[in-house]
Amino acid sequence: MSRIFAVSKYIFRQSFRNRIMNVLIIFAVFAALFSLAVSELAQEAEVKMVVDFSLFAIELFAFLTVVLSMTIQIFEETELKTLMLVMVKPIKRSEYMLGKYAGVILTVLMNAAIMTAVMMIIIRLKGGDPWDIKILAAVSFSYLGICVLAAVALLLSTVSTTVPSWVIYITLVYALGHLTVHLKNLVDSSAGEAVRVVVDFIYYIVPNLELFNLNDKINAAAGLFAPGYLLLVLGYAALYITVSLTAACFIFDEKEF
Amino acid sequence: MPPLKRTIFYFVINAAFALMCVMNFFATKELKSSEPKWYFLSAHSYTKFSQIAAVSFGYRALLADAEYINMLQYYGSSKAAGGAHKDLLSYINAITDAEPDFTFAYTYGAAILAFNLKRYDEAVEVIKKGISYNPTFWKLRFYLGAIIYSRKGDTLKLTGLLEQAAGFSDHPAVVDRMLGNIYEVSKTPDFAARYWLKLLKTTNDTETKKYSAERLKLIIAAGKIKSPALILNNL
Repeated sequence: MSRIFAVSKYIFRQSFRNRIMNVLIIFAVFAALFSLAVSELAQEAEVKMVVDFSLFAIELFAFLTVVLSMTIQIFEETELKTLMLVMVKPIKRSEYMLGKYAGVILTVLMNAAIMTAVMMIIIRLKGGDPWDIKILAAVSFSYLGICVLAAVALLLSTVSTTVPSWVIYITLVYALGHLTVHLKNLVDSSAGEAVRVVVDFIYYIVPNLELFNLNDKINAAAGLFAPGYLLLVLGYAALYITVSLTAACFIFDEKEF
Repeated sequence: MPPLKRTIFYFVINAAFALMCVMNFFATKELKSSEPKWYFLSAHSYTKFSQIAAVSFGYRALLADAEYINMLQYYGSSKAAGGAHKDLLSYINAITDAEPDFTFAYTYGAAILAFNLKRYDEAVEVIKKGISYNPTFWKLRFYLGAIIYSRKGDTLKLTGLLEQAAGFSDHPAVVDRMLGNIYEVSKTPDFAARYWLKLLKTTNDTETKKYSAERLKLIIAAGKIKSPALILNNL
């Protein structure tokens, strides 16, 4: 456990040592602040505008943080051969992978926490309720979705041979993750059997990120989802992360360098 | 990894994956049952590319905000004012198509159309669309009632809508008072008196209690009800 913690601490620090990551964080904070300017244009719906824009920015920058943080790691491991230095240390490969995952999601958490804090301050300034449970639930589930995506990103990093191919794969997973539920809905009502089989395969393999999207529900008069649904999504996220990380550790363990 | 350990490992991973698929299936089922049909992309749901992209990537609310700013800018432009804002309805529809939960867009848009531009039919169309997507949001019925009552004097339609609004637990007390006033005009004095009496006994709102008592006194004083004793005994 201490070795996993040591790796995660190293990954976390390494992410913040990188200038590009620091620029990304500055951009993320500016994006949250920009919502203040945008809201000025929306007469009588300022708070809604701040919330919607900030939630969008939090998810987008969380995704970018995962991509950037992992890209830095993969580049350093493959091109600068830093992985060899780690492999000679008394640490299991699975511990290294778990530590790496923990480091990445910690980096995302810090980024999301900064943006959420900025958003809450702006909501307060605009006269809204910054502690609204709907907003906090939306941020939490957005982060949970990104944790699932980070686990898939780690799995993909073990099978990808180059950084660009990994970036393409993860971007595709992100897009498909939001689309699968809609694709399934479309084919269930109209498509033929062959298309349905293909879409069902994608639907079960790719993480269903739309399940974590509460951003579009915070204005619903009927309120947020039922607790049963939220528990199902939590269970789904836990299982998806476990399966992805186990598979990533397994592949990494078998890999020869 | 020894063969047996590897077999067990594969079995556990596959079992976890199967359980994950089951959870995904049930969570999606729950999502589908709790959301209206417009929430998902279908052959007839969304027409613009921006809407399809927003729904696909989960930023419907943000797109609606952009459309809302578009609408405000259109309404504020002098060029559009010269043309009597003839496209305002389509601007409002663009907002509510992107995010049908954006209830303020219905009330705001309908208020502009009805009270500022005197285009009542379009205002009613906006509110009716809002009601179809947000049936539990009482304010929309209230606005519809207000538009019709204030500007068209169509009390029959107004009564039905206010009765629906009064059926919601979170309706404002002013709905009850408004309904009572309409009953006094459109129904018999006995019916109106019974309504005020019921309201007097059930409402928690002090102002409504006071108002109900005043209206009851006036109805009884006018001498139009058939059995005033029945009302007075229940007071």
